[in-house]
Amino acid sequence: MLNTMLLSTKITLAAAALLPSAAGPAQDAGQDAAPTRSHTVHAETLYTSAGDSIRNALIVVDDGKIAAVSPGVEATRDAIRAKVVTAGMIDASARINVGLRSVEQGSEITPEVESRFGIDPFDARWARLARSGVTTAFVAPLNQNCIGGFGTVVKTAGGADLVGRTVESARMICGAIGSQPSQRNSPAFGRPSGLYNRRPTTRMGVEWEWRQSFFDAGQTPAEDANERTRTLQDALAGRVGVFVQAWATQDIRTAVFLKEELMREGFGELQLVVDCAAEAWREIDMLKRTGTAVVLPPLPSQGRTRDSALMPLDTAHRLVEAGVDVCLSAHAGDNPGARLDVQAGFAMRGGLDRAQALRAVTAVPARVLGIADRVGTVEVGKDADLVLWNGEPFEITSRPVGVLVGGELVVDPRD
Amino acid sequence: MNSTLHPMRAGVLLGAVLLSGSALAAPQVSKTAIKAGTVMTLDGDPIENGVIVIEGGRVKAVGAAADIEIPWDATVIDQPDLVAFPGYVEAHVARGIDRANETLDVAPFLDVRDSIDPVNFYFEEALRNGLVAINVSQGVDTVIAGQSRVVQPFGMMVEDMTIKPKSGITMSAAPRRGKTRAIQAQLLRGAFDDLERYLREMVQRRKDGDDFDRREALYQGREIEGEDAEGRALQSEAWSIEGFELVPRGEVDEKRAPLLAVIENRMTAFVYCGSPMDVHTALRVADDNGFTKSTVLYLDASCWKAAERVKSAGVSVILSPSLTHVDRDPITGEEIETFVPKVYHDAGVPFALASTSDAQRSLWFQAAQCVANGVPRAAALAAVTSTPASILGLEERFGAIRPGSDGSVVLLSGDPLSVTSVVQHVVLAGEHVYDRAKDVRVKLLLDGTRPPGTSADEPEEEPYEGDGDDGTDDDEDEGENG
Amino acid sequence: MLTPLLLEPALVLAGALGGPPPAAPETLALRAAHVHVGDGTVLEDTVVVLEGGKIARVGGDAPSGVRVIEVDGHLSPGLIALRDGTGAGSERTESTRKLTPTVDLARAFDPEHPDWARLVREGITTVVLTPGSSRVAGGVGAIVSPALGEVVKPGALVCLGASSRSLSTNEEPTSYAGLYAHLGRAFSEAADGSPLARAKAGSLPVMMEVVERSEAMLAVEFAKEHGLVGALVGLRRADGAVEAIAASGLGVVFEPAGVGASRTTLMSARLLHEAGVPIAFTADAESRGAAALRMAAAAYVRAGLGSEAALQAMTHGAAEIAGVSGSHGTIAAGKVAELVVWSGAPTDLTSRVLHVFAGGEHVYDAQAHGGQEAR
Repeated sequence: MLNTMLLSTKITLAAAALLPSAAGPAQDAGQDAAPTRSHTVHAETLYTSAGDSIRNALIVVDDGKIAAVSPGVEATRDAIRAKVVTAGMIDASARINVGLRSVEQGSEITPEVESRFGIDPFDARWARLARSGVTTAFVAPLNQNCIGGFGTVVKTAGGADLVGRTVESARMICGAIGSQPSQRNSPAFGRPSGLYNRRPTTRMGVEWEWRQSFFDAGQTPAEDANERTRTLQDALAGRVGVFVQAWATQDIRTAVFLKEELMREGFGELQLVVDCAAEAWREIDMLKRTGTAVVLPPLPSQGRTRDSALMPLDTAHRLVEAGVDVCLSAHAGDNPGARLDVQAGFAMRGGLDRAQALRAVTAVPARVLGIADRVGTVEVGKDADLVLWNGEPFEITSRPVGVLVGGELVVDPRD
Repeated sequence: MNSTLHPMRAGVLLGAVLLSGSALAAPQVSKTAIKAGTVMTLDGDPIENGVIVIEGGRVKAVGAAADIEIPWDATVIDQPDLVAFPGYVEAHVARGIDRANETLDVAPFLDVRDSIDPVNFYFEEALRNGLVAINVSQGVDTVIAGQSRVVQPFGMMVEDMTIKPKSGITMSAAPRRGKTRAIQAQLLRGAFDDLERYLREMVQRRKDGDDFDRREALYQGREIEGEDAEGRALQSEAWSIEGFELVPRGEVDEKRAPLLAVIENRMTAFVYCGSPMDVHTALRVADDNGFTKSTVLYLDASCWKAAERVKSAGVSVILSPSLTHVDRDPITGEEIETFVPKVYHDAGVPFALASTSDAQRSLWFQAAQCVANGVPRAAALAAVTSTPASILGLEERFGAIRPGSDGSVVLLSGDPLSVTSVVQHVVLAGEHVYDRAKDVRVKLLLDGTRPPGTSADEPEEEPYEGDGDDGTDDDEDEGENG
Repeated sequence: MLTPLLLEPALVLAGALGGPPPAAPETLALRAAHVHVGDGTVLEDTVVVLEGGKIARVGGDAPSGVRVIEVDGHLSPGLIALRDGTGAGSERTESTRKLTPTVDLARAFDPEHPDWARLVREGITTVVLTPGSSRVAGGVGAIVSPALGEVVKPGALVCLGASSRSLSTNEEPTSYAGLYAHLGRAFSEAADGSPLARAKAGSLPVMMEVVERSEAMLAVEFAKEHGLVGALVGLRRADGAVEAIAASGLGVVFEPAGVGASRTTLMSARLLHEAGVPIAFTADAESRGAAALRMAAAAYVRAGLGSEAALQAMTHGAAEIAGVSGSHGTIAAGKVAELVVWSGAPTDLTSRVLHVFAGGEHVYDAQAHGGQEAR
């Protein structure tokens, strides 16, 4: 392992000599060029999210990728040192969209719409998220439609060009089951007008829209399918995932029952992820049976969240113990100052051990979002998304003091 | 006093705590001994296998098990796996009362004694979070609000709960909702000008032989005898009112007396500042009226910019719950974050922390954040124990476990600042008042179930913040201005 | 700098009449102390010869037998206002439809509208009439001459709305995704030879309204995908997006900004100019008054944009964006004879417009009109 590392370092240096763009950290001081994406990081403890922790690990980052991870090595002179290093955190429900303008409300079923149009790369919340150690985020359209459109996975830093920041992921259409999609569809008083004169105005209506659209899509011949229908057919065929917001038990059940009903009818099998699954703990068997992954909302102050769903402290713990894929989220887009590491800490308060909590904000969301080939663990070949901590991760007495996104040092612990 | 109990609430509270009967009918000299795996006295090094002996509500002895003799008749709480801790002190909070703010601009004659609701959910929550002394005050949307009171989060009557009545008066240099800074500053200054005018007129009336003030006092139902019948010269560092010693103290209008106590440094002034400029207003008013030495500033996060001014005034501060201040560079739009407690720590200003309204982020959370951001652990712990205790004038009783201090001990499952530690037991003045294993509501919050036959009365749901978000942000996410 | 002009009385009288223009404009020469070409250069003591409504020559001696007007001040090209709706009122916005890409703004041009004279008095000789900002594809902009009352070029620009102004709460689109879905569909379904098809072929410039940087990034991406040329209109700030905009080849048209405007907006014009991005300003005279164009330029100059660059933005830069730089925007041989005589530097707010020539005609004379109507 040590030899491999030395070799890699040599290669790095050789590359640096050949390519001016890959200048090593020592040479780039004072230059105004693009930030370097090559660094060496030394961790007293490295939690890789892919196995045991490593003591005294040296991580070589070359041009945005992890080139080598070597255990039991002293820090090199130019290494950035940290007490603990983990993979960059992934928030599977970051909610940093442009609000109402992120969802097309001309129809309640708009699966073909791309949420990336509803993302503002200049939003200050991105930098905040990056500073808090979240390096990758999943952004869905606002939950105003039954099916709102494709979600987007983006890095939290890396410039104005959203295309460059987008991570190719599993394609997932995002929607909501519950009270949200029906909320603004009836006028406060008087007769409905404009596009608000529409279904649904109730939970039943929301469910009906979901079922109707999938049944229609399932029965439409491929040659007659428009973009919308094709997208739904892709979801039935499992080529496109379905990311459903459902807080309360009844809504989680609706989502799972819909999946099972569509299977029974022979239309196909939806790849389901339940977002905001506050009451998932009440339906663990159902989630296990259908292989449904969940994204948990931030822990509420008094137990109750949206739709009066009760989310106890041990929610994550119980689901993880039962073998359900659990991702944590902080909804940082909704609440400035919300931190994913604090959510992981509360999940530990509810019974998760540190390794489980770490996986719930790194490796598991990476797998659920279909980006595990690039992020989620500290392994050679992965994107150099790293968080440098000044103590044990998720303790409130610790915080991210350094952050690398794609090898770029977004927060420098030496500052 | 309104002490109507919700039958349900009361039931929960009683069900949630242990030994409530003995708390209501205390024996002559109760003796309690706590054996804990670790005793963090905050008055020296932690003691492994420590023992705390509490007699008559006060700590009699604390030390290693080998050195301390446990009285034969003491109730023993034996928790070899737990950590004993002095408990947290909340220096200023406008909760546990019906309504935080008064419509009157200047109302120093009010007392939160009349507002405190002993069965308010807040106290239950405070107990669960290990708070042992809470300075309940009116809110800061005021010019001069009523008098605060230090209470323990347990008891069926305000009198049972009270640790220290009339612990201070809350004022604000930040504008009330809908008002300007100019009018706020004018009203604050004006209240003291009014007091001075009133006192001078009193002296004049006395000299003129007018017994108006005496009649008023009797009309208000006050007996004027003993000390009240005597006059004393004004004990002010800033004012002089010639002939004030002629006026019997008991004749001072009860609506004016609290502010008189402030300028004579007999009453703490908690002055809220919403921005750095308010700090100057607050300190100028205190200085002009001679009560700087009994002033405590309650500061919004943005006030860190006035830290030097605060330091030179030599006052203590209470930091509002939001600990990180965010500034935006006007040109680049980049955010600049400042971790506020670190600024005061580095400046050497004594600071106390305040809880957020989120039950999950009580004082332990606030102190832990300080450690994460470079404040030494001892200083972070002091900010939630000894510093607030001394701000409230209770440094002998709270903030450390030592002989003579109040027998208030919190037993935690681990280190107080660890994210996985929870409060298992609370002992207040020697009475074992909280046992997590019997906390109905914690059971619900912990795993979503309720013990059979119980009904947890849930608090009013706070509206969920989020969705429909437009990207704008305000930084007062957790600010207490209620 | 306010040296009075030496003008022959006959010319003043000829130009003073509001009647129909003479059949063929007189050939004449102007000799000016400072000629602001419009491309950033300034020529000193130079002769400009006007013939047949065009600029025949710049430099050299005045031809013999031609009347020479001595300009003891500054000469600049006529100013070009991108985006304006003077005189059209609500006629410029087809409010029941978000997409009416083939609608021609030339039909909304009222040549007799009295307000045009105000623009001429401010030295504006060319205007791009555009649909209202609330549309997604509101029509094709027309280039008109307010002084001559003529449509210079109908169907000159495709006007697209890609800002939040084009999103509604009660009709489609309500989202950016929906907006681009509509636009994408309109482009892909555009019939051959239609404005959108020509825009896609790069032969017709577009003006895409955007306000926020995120909107600009989406517009840049869309333009790249569809091979569009033209400009972004209404962008408030460009910091952080300069590189992407420069790479797109699109210009940027800023809205009138007072001196109190956000510094980031004002700085953005300079950043873009330095990155080689053509910049220009809208006039919006119908709502902001005719002076807004030059006021805006002054505000940007105050924030560090060079005064010649600001003038360039109002002349050559605007002409480039409008796709008429072959005929408009500079004082050069072969261009239309649209000139303004100023009492001082054109971007100096204390300077006054003394004379305006349009199509070779002397259409405005400050002395003769005493500040009243032109034409």
